[in-house]
Amino acid sequence: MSKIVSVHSFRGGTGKSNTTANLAALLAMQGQRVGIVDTDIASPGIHVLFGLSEEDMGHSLNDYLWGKCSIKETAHDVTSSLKTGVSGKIYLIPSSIKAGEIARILRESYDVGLLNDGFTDLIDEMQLDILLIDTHPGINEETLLSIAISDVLLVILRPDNQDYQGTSVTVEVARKLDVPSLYLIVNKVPHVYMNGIGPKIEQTYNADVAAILPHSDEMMALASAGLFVAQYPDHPITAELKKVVARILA
Amino acid sequence: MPTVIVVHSFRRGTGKTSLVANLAALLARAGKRVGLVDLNIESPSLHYAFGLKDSAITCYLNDVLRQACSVEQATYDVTTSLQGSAPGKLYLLPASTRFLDISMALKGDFDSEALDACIPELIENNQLDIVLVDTRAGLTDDTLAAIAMTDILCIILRPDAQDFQGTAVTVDLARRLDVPRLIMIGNLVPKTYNLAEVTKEIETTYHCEVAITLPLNPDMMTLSSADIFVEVNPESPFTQELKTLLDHLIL
Repeated sequence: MSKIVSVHSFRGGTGKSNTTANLAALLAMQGQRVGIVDTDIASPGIHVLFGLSEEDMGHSLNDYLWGKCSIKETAHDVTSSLKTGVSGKIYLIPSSIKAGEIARILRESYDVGLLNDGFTDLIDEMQLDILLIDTHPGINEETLLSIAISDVLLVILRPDNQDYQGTSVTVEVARKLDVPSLYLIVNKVPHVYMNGIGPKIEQTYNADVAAILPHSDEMMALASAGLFVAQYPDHPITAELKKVVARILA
Repeated sequence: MPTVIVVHSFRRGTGKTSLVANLAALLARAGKRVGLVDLNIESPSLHYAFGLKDSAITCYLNDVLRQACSVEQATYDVTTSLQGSAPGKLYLLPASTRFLDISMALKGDFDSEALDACIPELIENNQLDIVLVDTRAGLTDDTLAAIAMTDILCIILRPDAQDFQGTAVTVDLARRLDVPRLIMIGNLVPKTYNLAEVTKEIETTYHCEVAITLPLNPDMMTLSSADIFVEVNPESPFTQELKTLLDHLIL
């Protein structure tokens, strides 16, 4: 059975793309066939983590939404970016990084239903075990639809007042939509806050915390030039992310 | 002549809102009458930085843009949130954090004419010297409208590969829109980096003026965005560094 996993955060800058990319890498290392859709059409970025340049980007999600190509044609095999041989696969569906194309899709809008059809076709055609959806922050129509069809929803938050307020909105929406599994991931935690933050957050939202990731100089220094879990296989952050993978596969 | 400054970043999490709040505080301390417009309609938070609670807000920028209230009704004097007394003034137009307002704002067509009318009115009503506009990340209608009317566009980026590539989109666009002045700011630079090298990399990548490159400040992270750093730490070297940015902004 394939699973759809949406990765969401209410606020931006929580490390959503980085977390999504690294979870995909860990899943592929465990032999899973993984798809990633970058639905952040207004400010795409996850393709950078897989070393996919603007020149190498053939068809994008934008082309699919405009009816120029099938969803399968937008899937880029980025497995080799892990640099180590893995038994699984990673297919990335990037959003366009061309200014004109971003402006056009925002101006003309698109049929949100097409996105969901695309997700289902992608799972079938690429025989995916897991489809990760890197969502747009905040709550809009696309996000609601992705959350509604998800088997697992991962909500990322930082230990910040603004994140706390917004995240409760997302958690409430997910409950109303009956998402089968909901997990919180606390990211970029300053070291002075690490102690006792897990139970505090579980209590606040009445939801499971799957991982607590400390602020990491190594992650910052990597600066999206590659995948953290591939470069630091024994780092505590990698170990925490593996806990999330276990929850996804459970 | 009042100056409109739009602060933008292509990716999120660059420290945009925090920088806007700190700049506003420094400008008010320097005696300026400052307007703040929260155009980050996707995840607004500027009013929290000035201790303005949602319960104290009756009209938002969202209401002004859909012509449900006047600019004056949605303007909040937040000067008293500064410690002691400042010679300048701070007037804030907050954006709504209500779930329905956010979905409406993201869904609807953005009325750029309403924004074009709103900022001069804010300036006129409060005799402002400077207006700082906080935007949301990415290339969106509302941000385009703001960029098209600004005197100075400040683009913030982190030294991160995703930021570097995406920022090219905004810079390209700003040039097409003939923005009078474009200023780059490097922010949240990890301590293992050489600040001067980051500045140089930004300059050579975008061929723009880099006003400042700021290190990642751990004290700012633990501040939890409930306070304004330069107010809490007026003597900190980081505050002194930020002050140099004012010279780039005050014409």
